[in-house]
Amino acid sequence: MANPCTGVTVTWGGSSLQEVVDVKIVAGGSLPIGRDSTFALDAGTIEIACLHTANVSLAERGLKKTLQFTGGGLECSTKAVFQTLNVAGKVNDVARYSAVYRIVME
Amino acid sequence: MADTPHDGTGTVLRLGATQYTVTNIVIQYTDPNADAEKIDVSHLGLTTGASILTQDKPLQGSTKDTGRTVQFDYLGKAPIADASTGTCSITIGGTAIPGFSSLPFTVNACTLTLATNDAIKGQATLRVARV
Repeated sequence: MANPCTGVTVTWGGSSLQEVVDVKIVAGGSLPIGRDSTFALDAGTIEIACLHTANVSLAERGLKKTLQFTGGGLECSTKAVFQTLNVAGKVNDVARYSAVYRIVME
Repeated sequence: MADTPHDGTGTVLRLGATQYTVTNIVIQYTDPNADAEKIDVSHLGLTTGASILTQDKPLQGSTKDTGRTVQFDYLGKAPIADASTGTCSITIGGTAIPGFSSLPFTVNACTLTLATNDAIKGQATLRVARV
């Protein structure tokens, strides 16, 4: 049976992201290289869209922390670097924040 | 013959004192405060079975928009002037539809169709007051 994507909590460095509405995890952006079978230039990205600014700000950009998902079939924990922040405003709507994290293999 | 309470025969539409020969009437009520008119702020943190979260839009709709319209088709060669105002009455068998006795209206739009081998037909949309 399919997993309903509800009851999901997302933490960034142990602090919760609030009102998360969309999550896209792309693990593995390029093939492993060299002798190390796990090392790759691009380990993938995680994009999180939310309606709240808590812990999603430019002040976090460039920081590496643990990004953790629990619930709703999204059990996942990885080190990641906060890469980009996209803020979208539209007339007669709420502001929407979209952050892209680069997965770091350690 | 059994009485058919939903039969629309004997329906009369008047704009002021003018009675129109109507062939079709559509009355639409829309609640401007319905959830469908709000912003859906539901998020992944909600649990299964929880209610959808909504939030009022920051801007309000035009005060002219009452959310209620009457659209009707009529036979006749006189267009109904847009933006004209007056009172509207719709009766079925002499009894007014609840709320449609001398109801203030403003004409949103009117079209008149003249075609070969056909009667001249008009269509009008009225914005009616919330009373």
